[in-house]
Amino acid sequence: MTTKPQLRIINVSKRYANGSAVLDDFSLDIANDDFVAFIGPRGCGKSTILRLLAGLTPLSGGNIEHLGGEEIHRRTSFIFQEPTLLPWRTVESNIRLPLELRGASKDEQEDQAHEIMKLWELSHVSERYPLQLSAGMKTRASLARGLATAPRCLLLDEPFAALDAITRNKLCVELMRVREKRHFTACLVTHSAAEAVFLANRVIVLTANPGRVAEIIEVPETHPRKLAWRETNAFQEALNQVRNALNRVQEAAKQS
Amino acid sequence: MRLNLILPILVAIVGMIVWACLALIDTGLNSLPGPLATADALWADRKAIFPALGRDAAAMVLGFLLACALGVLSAIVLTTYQGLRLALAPWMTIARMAPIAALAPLLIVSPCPAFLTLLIVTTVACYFPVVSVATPALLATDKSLLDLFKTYHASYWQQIVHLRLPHALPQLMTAIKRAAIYAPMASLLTDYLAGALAGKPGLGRLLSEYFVGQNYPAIVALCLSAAAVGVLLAGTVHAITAWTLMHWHDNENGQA
Repeated sequence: MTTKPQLRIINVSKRYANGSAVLDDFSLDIANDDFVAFIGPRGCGKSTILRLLAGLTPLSGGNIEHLGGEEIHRRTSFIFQEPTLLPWRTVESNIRLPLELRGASKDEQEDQAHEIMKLWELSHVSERYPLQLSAGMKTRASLARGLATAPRCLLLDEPFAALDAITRNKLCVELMRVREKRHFTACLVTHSAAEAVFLANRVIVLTANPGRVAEIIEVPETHPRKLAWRETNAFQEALNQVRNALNRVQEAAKQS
Repeated sequence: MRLNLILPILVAIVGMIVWACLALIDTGLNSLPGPLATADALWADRKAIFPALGRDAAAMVLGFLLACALGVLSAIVLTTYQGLRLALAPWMTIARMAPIAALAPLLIVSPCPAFLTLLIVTTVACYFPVVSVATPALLATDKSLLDLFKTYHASYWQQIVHLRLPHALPQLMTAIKRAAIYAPMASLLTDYLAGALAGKPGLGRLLSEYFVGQNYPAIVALCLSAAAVGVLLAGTVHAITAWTLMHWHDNENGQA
């Protein structure tokens, strides 16, 4: 894994119109091929970080440098908590959407969509509408669409939150398998410490209002990880570190 | 055969029997002709009724289509320009509330040919229900879907074509169904009020002639013919609605 930074978040702050601060003096470097997970108490600004990175929300202060320029910024893909599939389009048509909006030719759209559907094992449901899919399949289609444009950076805002534990674990493994083939940087927001440790190579624990970096926990296990790794002492050790950090953050929030 | 086909046919048969009985027995409704007398009158006056029906139906369908197109275009303009929307919103509401019986005489301008008058009144009567529903529907697009399009750097027109319009389609089709009900009423009423201007009489003009001549079977025949055209228009719109929404909209899929 290279250590060349792809995204540099420098002293970023975010305040709402009423003056309340969500993020304050938040700084972080995210390297190429990094998998970073943000975790913290409710309202600590985890999702806000992703929205700032995607350009969905303006900064109140500080700066975000997309090293490599505008092109990389445009090659960032956002996966929302809800699958956000367009209900009037089939699975294939949904996956084609970002390519269509980018002005890709019909052939390119078709080639890319078929390749990505094969990768995510969606070919058999390509003609189905979202209404005809299970929650797991919808999330799978949403992830596939997110990767259709071959993004350099994937921003994942709790994409597995609404899924049952079995589907969630399965999709985590799938995500890792796909990442091995597509090589993208990933930033994940999650409430699940186990999910963060399993997927990320760095878990960023945030403080409560306003959100700042409290602790960074490195997870040295190499990617791709197998589900069996969750049964090992190394996983438990990393998980305990994250849980303890979260407890410390919550204790500090109660005292302040 | 499905219940939604059998039951209306049964109701029609029962209605015909009740109608025939009421015409036969002494109910005090001496002017109510039976089904056979009505059919006879329709056949006898076919050379007057059908051309009039054709002219009114043409104005009705053209006016309806024009109103739908103008209504959707206006809604897009109002969605785009907030200032214009704020300035026009109260007047749109007032115009929508105004009954067509009050509007029609104002819109009947003597220099206009009768067909054009019919077209204008039908268009105005159908336009307001469409624009008053389409505008808020276009504005009520799911925020997460709008965010998704922002992450794709979609242009405003891409957003309108690929997101706002299809998202608003269920409400839009409901408004168009309502407009399809107003169209025959507006057409018949205008012709009744403005028929004297025309070289060739429409249904409204014929209706007033039949009243003067106390030709009650012809009046019923004429009303039923006009209703049949209205039902045909509303049925076509209903079928188009079902076809466009059947794969992805809960109500059209019977899953609501």
